[in-house]
Amino acid sequence: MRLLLVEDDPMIAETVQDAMRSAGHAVDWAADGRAAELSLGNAVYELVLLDLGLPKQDGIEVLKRYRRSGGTSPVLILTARDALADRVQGLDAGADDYLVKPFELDELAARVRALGRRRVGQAAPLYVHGAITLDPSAHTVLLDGQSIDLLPREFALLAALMEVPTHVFNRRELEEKLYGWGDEVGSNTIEVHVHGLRRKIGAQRIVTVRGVGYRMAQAE
Amino acid sequence: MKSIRWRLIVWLVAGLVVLALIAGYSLYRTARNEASELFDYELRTVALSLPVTSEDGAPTDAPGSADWGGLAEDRLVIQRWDGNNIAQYHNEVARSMPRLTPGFHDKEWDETHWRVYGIQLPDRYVQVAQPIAVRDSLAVGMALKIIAPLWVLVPAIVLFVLWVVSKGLQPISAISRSVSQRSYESLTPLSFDQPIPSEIAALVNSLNDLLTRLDQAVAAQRVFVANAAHELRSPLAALKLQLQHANQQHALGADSAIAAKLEGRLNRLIHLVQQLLDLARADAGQGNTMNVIDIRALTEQVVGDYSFTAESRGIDLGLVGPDGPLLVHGDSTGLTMLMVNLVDNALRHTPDGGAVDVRLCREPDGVALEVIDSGCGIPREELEKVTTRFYRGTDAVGQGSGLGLSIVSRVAERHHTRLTLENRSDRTGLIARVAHLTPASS
Repeated sequence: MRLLLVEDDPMIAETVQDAMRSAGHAVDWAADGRAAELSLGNAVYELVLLDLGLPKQDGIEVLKRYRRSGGTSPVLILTARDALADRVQGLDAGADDYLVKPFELDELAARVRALGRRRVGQAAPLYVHGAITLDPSAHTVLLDGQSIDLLPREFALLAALMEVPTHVFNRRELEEKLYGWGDEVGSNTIEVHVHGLRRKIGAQRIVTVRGVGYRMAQAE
Repeated sequence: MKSIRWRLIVWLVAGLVVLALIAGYSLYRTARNEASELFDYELRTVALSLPVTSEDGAPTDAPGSADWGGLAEDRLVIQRWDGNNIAQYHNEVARSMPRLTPGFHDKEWDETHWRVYGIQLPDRYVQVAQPIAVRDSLAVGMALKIIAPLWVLVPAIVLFVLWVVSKGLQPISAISRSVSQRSYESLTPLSFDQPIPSEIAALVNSLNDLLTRLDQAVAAQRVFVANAAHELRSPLAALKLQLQHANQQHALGADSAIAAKLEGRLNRLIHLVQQLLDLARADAGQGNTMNVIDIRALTEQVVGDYSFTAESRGIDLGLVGPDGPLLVHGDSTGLTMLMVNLVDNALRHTPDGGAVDVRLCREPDGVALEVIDSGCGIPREELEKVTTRFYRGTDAVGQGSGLGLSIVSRVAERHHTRLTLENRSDRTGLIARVAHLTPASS
């Protein structure tokens, strides 16, 4: 897989490149926002690792322009813990996932693998998380290679959770994903769907963050 | 005697008393001189005007006889010698008093000091004497009469001095009040509404000068800590990645337990550096524009972030509070640091399989945030100390830096509230509470 690493710190960039290369990926490195734009314009990458605190041009800005110019490759944001707002902005600007610095290399590798399965050029990306593979275009879900049947709302719920597996979705966010404008949403509808979904894929695969919402369990 | 007030009062009152004594004494002296002159004149007049009452030479001893009535009070002793130097006496005591030369004399006789006047008249010699004590007692009486009102004035003077002293010391009290009311972190120069008296202006100026320099020094130190922590963060993150990479490639040639230990130490270092940076930022309050923020959304993010740690340790981490946005006036970066440190702390001190509640409540006097863990709590005697920098509990477990709670305290102070810690009453565990966050309406 061909990756673009946008990271201004050479020490981190070098190690990430080494690690990604040993995992079998080809990595290009852009040290600032302008170099990132040039690289994104010249080549097709299957995944972009984007550090948000960049010299010359802000990472968020790079991401926005990339999406505006039609770039569809998954983007994984690397951000400092104390920049909560950046993370939200990043997701809003079209990032697919985020990792909080300092991250574990294993974690990075896992995310890269998961995001990388959403191949460029496919009509819709393929979501993979642990034993679950979800194909949004074909509307199929495989659990350990076995196809399982989900209700449309359960499917939409799982798709939403798998889209950003590190994010805890609160009820409001999930309602927005599952229902259109004007739909009547019962007060415990989401809970009902989560319950149904858990019965089919295994309760331990969806974590309830009490008082906040739901997210995917960490991939085993 | 430490107080200027008491020093002034004692010295002023003592000075007044001494002055009154001196005044009394000089009054006495003046009165005595005046009295001496008067009495000398009286002696002379008596001597000159003494009539020749009897030619028989018999002494006239009767005190109340003839016209001498008034003289008895003055204890006058009158002696007379006729032309033949035969003594004729006017009262009994006079019999033994010797005859002196003419003119005024002070003479001790019969254990009494006398003032004696003698005069040689054509047909007789007259000597008049009077005890000096008479004029002394008159002088003392006069002096006392003049001084007496002064003694009545003493309490009034003491009260007046008290009033003047407190009035005069008012600027000093105002300054010390204003200094004592300052919060320990405030290093802004002192300023007063009223003009400062020139005597203490110098003191206030040097104090302000000191404060300014101190402020600059503290600011420089904070900037240094923040920069150092910031600069340390990247190399440490890189080191961690490098270590993990080397470990994956089995390039270390060491067994995995050693590698895990190395990484544990490194994680602790990274955590410490991050906290130093947080603390420096909280101290400097940089980027701390107060905005209307949704503290529920912010808490959801932090709880969401830590749900991974909680999940892997089997800890039930949850948020308890009213649904929907909860708006407060605050600094989102600061409140995030506050929340992260409280939750991080709670998770560190909660055993695997325990529970941590983050509770948000709307209260009459603001929004309250509580983080309640099911750890072992903090011994009562250490509750006060744990917010001190680098303080780690005596039975602290885990890898805390000892900075978390001071970061929380600093952020809370900037939000005009404070961190309170108490042990749970229902079971072991700690309740960390930051109340009175200013609510905002959208």
